[in-house]
Amino acid sequence: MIVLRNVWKTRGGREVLRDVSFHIAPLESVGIIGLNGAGKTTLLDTITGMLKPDGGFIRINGQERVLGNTGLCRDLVYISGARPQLWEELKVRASFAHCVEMYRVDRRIAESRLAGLVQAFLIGPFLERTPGSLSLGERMRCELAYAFLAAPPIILLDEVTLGLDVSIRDRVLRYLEEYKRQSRSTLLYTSNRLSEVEGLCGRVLMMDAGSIIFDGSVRDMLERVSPLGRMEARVSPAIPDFEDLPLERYCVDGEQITLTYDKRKLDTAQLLRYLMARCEIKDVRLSEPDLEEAVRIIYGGGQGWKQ
Amino acid sequence: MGELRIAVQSLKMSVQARMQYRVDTLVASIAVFVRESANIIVIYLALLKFDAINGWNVNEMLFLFSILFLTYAVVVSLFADLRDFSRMIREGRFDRLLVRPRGLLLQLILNNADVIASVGHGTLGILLFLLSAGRVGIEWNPVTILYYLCAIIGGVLMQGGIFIICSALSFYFVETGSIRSIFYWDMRRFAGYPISIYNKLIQTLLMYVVPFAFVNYFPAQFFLRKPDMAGYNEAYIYIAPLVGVFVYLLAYLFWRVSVRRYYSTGN
Repeated sequence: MIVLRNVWKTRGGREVLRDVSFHIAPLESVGIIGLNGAGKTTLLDTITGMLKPDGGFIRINGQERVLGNTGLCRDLVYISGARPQLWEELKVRASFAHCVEMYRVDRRIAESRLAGLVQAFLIGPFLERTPGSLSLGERMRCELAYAFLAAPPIILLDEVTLGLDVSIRDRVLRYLEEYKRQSRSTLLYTSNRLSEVEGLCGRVLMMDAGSIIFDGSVRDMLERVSPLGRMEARVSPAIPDFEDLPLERYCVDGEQITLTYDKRKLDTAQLLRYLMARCEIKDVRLSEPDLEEAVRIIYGGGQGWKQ
Repeated sequence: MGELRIAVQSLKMSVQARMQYRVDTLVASIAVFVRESANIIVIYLALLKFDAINGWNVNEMLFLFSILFLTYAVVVSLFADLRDFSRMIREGRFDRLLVRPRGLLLQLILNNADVIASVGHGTLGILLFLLSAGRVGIEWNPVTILYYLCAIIGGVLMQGGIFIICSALSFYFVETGSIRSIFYWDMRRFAGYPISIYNKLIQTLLMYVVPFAFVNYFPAQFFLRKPDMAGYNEAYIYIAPLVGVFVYLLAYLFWRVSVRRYYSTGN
């Protein structure tokens, strides 16, 4: 059980956490999404006690302090690109041995877990090397394996798919989803990709500028965000504005236009017809809104937002 | 026993990590050995001009030095991270230890061994011991051997304690390098000679502030009984190993208090 109540944190005169409150139940998996600088890492740092909040309180399993509390430390693992857990100077395998000792994992269980992780993350070749000789992505896979080798009741993962190429990222996400299905730990997962969180987490916290601007189920979030479509097109001649269309948002940059629209109000075919009647379409691309867009939509309470 | 297994495993891993660069480690160790030996040779040559310093002849002086080097060899294999603590904090390598489920001090002691310095100083220490111990008339029997071992352990704990105190000061002050260099390195330099050659101030520092006198001077007096011992309480010889234990406990308590302060204020 993780409880935060009215947590504030100021760093360098900037409020990096503003009045953050939430509960996370045991075995819940929660995705924390937000753009860079939204406060995701600060939030995890604060939960683990690496940063002290300026106000409010935090309890993990009813206890106030993580640092210096070996018992509570054994209940969680925190993996973050900024705070590697592997020993730099040791071979990855030796770090894993340390991990198994520290988290008191039964030797036989540890061996079978490691075998599974080697397969899932394809880290076999890295075990006999030191983290320094691995690439960012390779190191991150080993860091992840460290977390799931320990497999404590609470696992905090901060932007762990950073630097992973697509196929590996899929493998990692599949492993996480499988792990979640077996409901073995509370999982806190930060990301700046909405799509990653979709499959993995039942619940989403969306952060912006240090505040939680959305806390609810993934389905609720998608319902608010996914009716939106996005069209990027190059048109000639340029169209100065789209004030006569019920768009959520648009952006005109010479011939390049980006339109965000609610499919319930305006469908894609209508929009294309509108454009073809006025100009020649040189290029068109349709996409779902990205996180930046989603943040704006949630922030704006679903209201149209024009630039 | 779990902790002991981890301790042995950690030390083994430090050595293994160094051994990945075998030649590099060997050359660096030799360099440390040569550097330290050069200092000793200079002192040795200077001493040949005199018959003795305050009654201590050359061999007795080398015996005094050997304790310093032997204890340091053990100190750096345990307290390397605490010796370089400010650098560790500066490079951000300290934070990651915080959420690991193991005592912080224990992690710092176990994790890193300065194998190079340990081998360099250790070799010189053993060499000096072999050169001098036979010539200063020590009679080795179970009692003297036991005292010698206790003195070494006490000396290691004393120096480890000083490193811990200096490291804990990093939680209060940004720059602790100069404190460390005055309280450890300068005092250690003084401790190379019989403390009776110094003025009262330095003697007091070496006995009661940074008690290096209890690392080598008083233990050496157990074996040598030089006349300058008359200036000090005889009991100091026997409590010498305990002084190390005492300093270490004091350091441990200070560390506990300081690190708690660090936890509650954050970095």
